[in-house]
Amino acid sequence: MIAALGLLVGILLGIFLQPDVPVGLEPYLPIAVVAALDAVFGGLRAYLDGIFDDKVFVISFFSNVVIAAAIVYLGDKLGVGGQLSTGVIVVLGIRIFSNVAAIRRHLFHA
Amino acid sequence: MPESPPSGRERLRNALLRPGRPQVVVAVLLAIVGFAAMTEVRANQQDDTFQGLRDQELIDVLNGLAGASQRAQAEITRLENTRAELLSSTSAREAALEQARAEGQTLQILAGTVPVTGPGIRITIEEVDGPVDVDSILDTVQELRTAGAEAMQFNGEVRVVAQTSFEDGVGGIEVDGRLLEPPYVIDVIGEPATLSGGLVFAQGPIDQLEGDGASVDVVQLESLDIETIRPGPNPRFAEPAPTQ
Amino acid sequence: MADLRPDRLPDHVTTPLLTLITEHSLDDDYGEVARRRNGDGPAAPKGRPAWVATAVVAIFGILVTTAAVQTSRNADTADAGRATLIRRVQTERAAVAGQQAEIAELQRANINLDDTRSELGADQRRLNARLGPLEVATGYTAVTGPGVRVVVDDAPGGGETQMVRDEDLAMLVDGLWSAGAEAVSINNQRLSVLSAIRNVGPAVHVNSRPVNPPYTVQAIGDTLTLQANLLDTTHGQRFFDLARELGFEYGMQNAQDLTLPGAPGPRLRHAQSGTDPGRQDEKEAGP
Repeated sequence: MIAALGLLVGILLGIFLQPDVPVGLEPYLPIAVVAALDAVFGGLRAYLDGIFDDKVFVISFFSNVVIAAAIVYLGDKLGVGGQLSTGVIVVLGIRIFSNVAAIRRHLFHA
Repeated sequence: MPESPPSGRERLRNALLRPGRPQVVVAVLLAIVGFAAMTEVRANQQDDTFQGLRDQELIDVLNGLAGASQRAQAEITRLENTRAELLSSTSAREAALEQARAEGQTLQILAGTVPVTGPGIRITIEEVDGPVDVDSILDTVQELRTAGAEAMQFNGEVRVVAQTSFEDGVGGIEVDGRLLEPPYVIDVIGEPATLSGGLVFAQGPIDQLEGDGASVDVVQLESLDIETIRPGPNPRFAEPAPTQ
Repeated sequence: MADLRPDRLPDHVTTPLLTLITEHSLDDDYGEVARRRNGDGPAAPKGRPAWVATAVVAIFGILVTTAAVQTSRNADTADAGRATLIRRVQTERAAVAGQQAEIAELQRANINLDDTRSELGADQRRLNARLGPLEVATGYTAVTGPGVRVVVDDAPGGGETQMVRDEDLAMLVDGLWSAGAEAVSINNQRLSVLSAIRNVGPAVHVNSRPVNPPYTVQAIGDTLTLQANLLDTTHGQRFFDLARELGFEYGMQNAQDLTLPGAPGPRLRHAQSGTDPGRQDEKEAGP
């Protein structure tokens, strides 16, 4: 599983490099992570369904992250940052749940 | 012939009477859920230390407390102002009361309703060659008042006040309607030397009394008591005039 | 007119939002691309795509780890900030509780003060009520009431021996007291127990103040009996006998609305209430 290797490499790099996140971007990091998680689980499910495509995966990954962060940033500027971030988390959360359920069905035949 | 599927009630009865593996699994999971729920409920009840609140909630609580603190402070200030007013009003009344009491004591002395003590003189008038004229007694009293007599008593029986009058009596003199027989003893409170001085000058009271045929003895005293008192006055016709 | 029957509307318009999200949780792109690939031609070679996808997963790994590291780094500050916040909340709560205790205390104290103040007010009223008659009788307040007015003047055209003297007025006043007068004044000088009527040379002084003829003697009392009683008293008789003998001008009549001023003072310099010097005992006969 080269993908798993890639994940491991990424984690190790993150631990050793310990990059400093600029203060302005700090609040959007958690949202970005959740959006990225959604893209990853979506990709995993697609792989298990047999319809995985790398281009789609890459595009969905980056676009999810950027769009989620942009929505929350816009919300902060408008003064509804808390509520918009809640909305984004709700949608991403539902999608993650749904994808993980499908993955679970594939893995456990349950 | 296929059986109709068991109704809900029948399924429940079967579950109760014949527990199987699925039941045990569900039981264990429900036990865990119940335990977790109770733990959370208890932790919530005991949470007096705000550990369970998110930061935003803590800030909200803090703001609420700050508001309550401000209102409480305003109330405290208002109560302190009221207290200051009450204190000043109370002490003003206390002072007025004190003053009124002091005046009251003076008035009581003058009205003859309390015993008095102080320096003064004792005049003893004995009839030797003739009866004492009531005019001489009146004159003596007037001289004593001029000399600053503050309280007077006759024969230890009659207390002299503004309304005290002197009448001819059978065998004596009626002072305020009360017959007194000689010797007449007048106790006077005031400055002893001045009082004596008011009696001894030429053609003064002592000369007059001796002219009536009496012998007069004056003793200056550092302290004498006048214990005769009168009942409190009860004027029937005189009323305080309305203040302008 | 558009045809809007429900079965002609597309999916994403008719399904509820959450159902929509759930159904489309896997990006449709995957399905689209897969359908296109199956319909079009051979699948793309697997070697290259694996790299790109792997790189992206690696980036994902970095992202997650960075977020985790950042959070753990902030944890201390966050915890410290949180601990401070909690301390502040507790301090503030204690302060508010203290303030409310103080409020209760102040309210109680104010009620007590108010009670004390009311009591003092009642004491004042009682004292004034008691002092009223004393003031009237001793002569130290202005009074009004019915009574008798006697005017006496020196004999007209007479010599020194026919001038009204202190002892004459003293006799008249003594007669009035004996007749039942409650308050007496001479030319608006009120007579108290300290008042003396004294000649200083030819001038008569009352309360140490000069008064000039004609002498108006006002006495408040029972108008029905005052004049009659006066003529019955020792000194009343002597006064009128003397007045006739010396030729004083005099007149006497009842009056309904006499007003007598209060005497000046009083000041006691030697007399103290009580019987033991230096110790103040108050014994009082009730009104």
